[in-house]
Amino acid sequence: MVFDFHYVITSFITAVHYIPVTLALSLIPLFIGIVFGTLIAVCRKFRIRFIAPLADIIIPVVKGIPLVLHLFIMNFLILKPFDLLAQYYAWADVIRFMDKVYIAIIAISIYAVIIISETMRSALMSVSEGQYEACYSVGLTRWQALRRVVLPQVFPVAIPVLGNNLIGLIKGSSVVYLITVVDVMNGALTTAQINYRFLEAYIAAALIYWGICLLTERLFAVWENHMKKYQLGSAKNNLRQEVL
Amino acid sequence: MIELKNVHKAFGKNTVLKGINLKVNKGEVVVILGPSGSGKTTLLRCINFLESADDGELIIGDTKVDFKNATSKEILAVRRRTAMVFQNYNLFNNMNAIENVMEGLVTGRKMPIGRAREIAKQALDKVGLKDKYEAYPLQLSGGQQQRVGIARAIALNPDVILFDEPTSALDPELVGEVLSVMQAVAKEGITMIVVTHEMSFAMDIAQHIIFMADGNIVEEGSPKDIFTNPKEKRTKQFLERILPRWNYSI
Ligand SMILES: Nc1ncnc2c1ncn2[C@@H]1O[C@H](COP(=O)(O)OP(=O)(O)OP(=O)(O)O)[C@@H](O)[C@H]1O
Ligand SMILES: [Mg+2]
Repeated sequence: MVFDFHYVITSFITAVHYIPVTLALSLIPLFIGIVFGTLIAVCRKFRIRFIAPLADIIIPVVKGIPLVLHLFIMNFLILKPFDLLAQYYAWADVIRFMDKVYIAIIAISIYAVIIISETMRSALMSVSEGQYEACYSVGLTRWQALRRVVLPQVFPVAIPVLGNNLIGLIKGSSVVYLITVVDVMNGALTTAQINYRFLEAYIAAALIYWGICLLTERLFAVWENHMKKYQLGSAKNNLRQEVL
Repeated sequence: MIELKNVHKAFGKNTVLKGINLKVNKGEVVVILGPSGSGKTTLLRCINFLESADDGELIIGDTKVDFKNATSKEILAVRRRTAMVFQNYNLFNNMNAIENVMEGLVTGRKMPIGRAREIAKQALDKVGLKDKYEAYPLQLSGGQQQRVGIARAIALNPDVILFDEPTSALDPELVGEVLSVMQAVAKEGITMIVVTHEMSFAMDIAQHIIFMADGNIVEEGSPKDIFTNPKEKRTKQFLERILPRWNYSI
């Protein structure tokens, strides 16, 4: 079979429709990851009882498990109980309600929380102890110090890494085809299942992922520059003052 | 009035404070001298609980706190009656000068923003930074940053301001501007405890000098007593080392 660019286009057009699914599979986990990852990083920083030691044990373990396995394990953990319930109550259709997309989002979110908690932990370390002490010295509590002084300095540092995390999630989310979720990857493959043009389908999927990732990278670069201006614009102004 | 009674502090096996007793009257400027590692910084940091002392008592105004079992409420109360000026300034990097000064008032003490802004402006004017309200720490020289640090402290109208070597991170030509601001603050009758190696400041401004070595207060008295007529051998050695020239001129 000779490579035929037309099949790439057919596959591409089909797969494009599933871009929202791929975005949902990466952006929702990103959001959940930022919220809970930051929370975990902060708890570890302040050595909060129970949570910090627990996180110290769990995170290195979970971090060492590939996303595919998260997905399979979640699929199994969530589906099995539902299967049993379905059998017990004789709900034949319950599985259909329990869309696999939700399982995928849960699995990717857990993965994202772990990855992003590490991102936030290293970003937190970029803020010196002196900033906390200055807060305490003017009578701020720990949480006030975090909210008013520390986190506003942490996020600009974290943004480029969060961008990389998101790209990792977008590409990583392509494994969901293994549990039959139809995302960009699986969408591209649906055409190949009819015409056996797998190479063309893979290339179509690759083009779409490449495009999404490129766009993500650009957006984060713009955001980062905006943040830099807000933080270091000061240094620039300083130069300007000296020149004038 | 501030009083410390029998303050003990150890880092692991290293005992740094071995029973410090100290009384500072309202409006007094106390300078703490001593060789490196004698526990001066640790003592200051114990007063506002940046370090938790192992034993002893702190009396500040009408509040009495036992170091051994201080509650977080008591710690916050003490911190809201004290302020600190740090060696490396520690201004909030994400805030400009006036926001730095307002932060403790607005977030810490829940003061309305308008009033906090007025107080912050007055404090910045006092330290000679009338034209730098909007400047971020990165835009300021070391001396200017430290003056914002002092403004941040005086704006809180604390019972005491703790200074830990406020000029030792500065270029020599910037030391003067900070010392003269500190002198002006002292003249206003604000209670100050100052750790410094600036002997001229100690002699001119301090009402009381404390000489510390190895976690103990070895000697204390008026600047005149300490500089011209030290009684303890340890003090003499220290002054000889740090002020060789002064020995001749006194
Ligand atoms: N966080 C800490 N952990 C362990 N040891 C510490 C800590 N802070 C201070 N020390 C030790 O306590 C002792 C006293 O330190 P401190 O900083 O109070 O001395 P200092 O009088 O301020 O000295 P310097 O003039 O050099 O600033 C030193 O031996 C130091 O190593
Ligand atoms: Mg010190």
